[in-house]
Amino acid sequence: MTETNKVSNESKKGADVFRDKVIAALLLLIPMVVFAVTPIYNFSSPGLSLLGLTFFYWFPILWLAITAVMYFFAAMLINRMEGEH
Amino acid sequence: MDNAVVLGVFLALFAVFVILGFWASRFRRGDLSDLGEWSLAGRKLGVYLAWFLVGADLYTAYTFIAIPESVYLHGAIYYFAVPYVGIAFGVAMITMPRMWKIAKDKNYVTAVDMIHDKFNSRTLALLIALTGIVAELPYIALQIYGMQAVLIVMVGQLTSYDVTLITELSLVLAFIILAAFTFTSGLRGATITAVMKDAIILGTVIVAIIAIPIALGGFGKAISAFANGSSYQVPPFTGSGSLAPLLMNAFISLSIMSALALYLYPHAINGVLSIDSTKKIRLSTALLPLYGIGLAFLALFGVLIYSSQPALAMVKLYGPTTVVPALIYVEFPDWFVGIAFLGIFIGGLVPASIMAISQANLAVRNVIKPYWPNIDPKMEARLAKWLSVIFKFIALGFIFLISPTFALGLQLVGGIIILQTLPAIFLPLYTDRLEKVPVGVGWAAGLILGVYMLYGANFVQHTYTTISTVLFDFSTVSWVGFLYIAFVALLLNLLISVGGSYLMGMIHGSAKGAAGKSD
Repeated sequence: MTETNKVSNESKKGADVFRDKVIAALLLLIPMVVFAVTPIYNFSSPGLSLLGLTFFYWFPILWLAITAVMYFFAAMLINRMEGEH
Repeated sequence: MDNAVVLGVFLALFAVFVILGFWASRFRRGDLSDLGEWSLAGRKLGVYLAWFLVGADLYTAYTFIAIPESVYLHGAIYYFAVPYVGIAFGVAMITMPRMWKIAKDKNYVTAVDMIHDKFNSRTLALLIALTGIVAELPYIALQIYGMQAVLIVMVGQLTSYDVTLITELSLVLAFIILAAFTFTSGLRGATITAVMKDAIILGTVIVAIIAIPIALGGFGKAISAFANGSSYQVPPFTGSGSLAPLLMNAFISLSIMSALALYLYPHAINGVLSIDSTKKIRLSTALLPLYGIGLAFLALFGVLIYSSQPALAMVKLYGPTTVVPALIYVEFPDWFVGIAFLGIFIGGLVPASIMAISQANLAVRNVIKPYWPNIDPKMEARLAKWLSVIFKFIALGFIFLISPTFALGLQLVGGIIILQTLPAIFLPLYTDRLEKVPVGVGWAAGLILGVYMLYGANFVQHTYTTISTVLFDFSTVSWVGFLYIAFVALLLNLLISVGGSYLMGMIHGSAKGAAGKSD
């Protein structure tokens, strides 16, 4: 392998790590922001009911399940990056 | 209902619980006369045990008793616990692996060890340690209220003979047993019994959150019954299908502040430090929001109870802490009631044990040792064991002295206190530029403002006879509405800690610059 190839591989790897870092940060931050911005889910319209629960009650429950999945992928990504060091 | 069966199942399972607690000292055997072994289980916990141990901090009386009680009394505002859980584990994913790494490198056993080193201040370390110990007490007391709720229903249905006396005697007895096995097994005892507790509780929660809504015809009926029939709606704590606009900021500040507070508590940090790698911390924390789904449904039991007349009658008789026990008692066969009641009971006991261990650990490492450095390791561990016993009984004393109008208030007051340690515990994970004096002044200012506002909200804005709210009324400015006091106190604290450190840094910087020039 030539010297230039090595360098471009290095920078490609650097770009990948940066991309993974951004994705991991988003996977952690998006769930928290959605939970914190309560107006997003403060609705009681009957059209949005599920099992008799208004949107205000059922949306955060669904979001908890999605959050666990997003946190889990974030954990896997960060753990992989940590493993490379 | 055959109440003897309920009691029989309860007692048989409690016996198993006690045996497990004592047996745990043999689990992954270590030298239990060493403080690190006793309080951190030798940093050997893997993903599953860590999930159970840290999860055990979540499924507590907070979930089973305090949140359903508050939703029953005050409605949608106390559903804040659901976003709180979702946010809290995100905060933990960001801060805790860093904390663990620093602790591992420098061989710290508590967060306060780090503060002592980073700020090079024995006084600041002492203040933060004492804050942690004090803030933990109302949290333990909350666990005891939960245990009491189960006992009241069980004893009350069994006999009409002095229910209060029997309940209190049983509580004291349970605490003596708990103290004994915490003493001998340390965090191992808590972790092993946490597995039993979580197994019983997960089973109970899954069955209860499916069967009870079905038996009572869904939530829709209950939500409208709640809107019409809530007996204790203190304005403006109303709202059934969604949140009243005036309470929006109260809801948001309660959930974010509670989320920031959770991993400042000594027991939470102690739990994280007992895990064996940062990778395992991330994986076990990532899945913890799943616990929150059960919490959400249990919170909704506070609404659901309005469509069960017999359960509602029991709650009126035994008090609002008994929402979940009453629904379970009314809706399930007696053997299941026995299992579920034991789950809720040890659901208070196990966290109480974990919390008392972390307090004892902090007291020995960061309060006693700095002033008595020659203490030998055996004596250190022995002191911690005795202190854990003492702290448990101080918390037990709370329930004989104070009768709170709502149990959650205890934990939320604890939140105001523990949040004042945030600048000292979380910020040094990311910067070395903080100075001990502004952080100390910020801590004091935050605490004083918190207590002052708590007084104002309860005895000036309202004329309650005991602490009944942690929300401060800013509704003269309508877009602000109500706010959790902890938020305002933390804001002041951060302003002083960060702003003060920045100013001092500038002065030091220019002083250094001047010194450089004169050379």
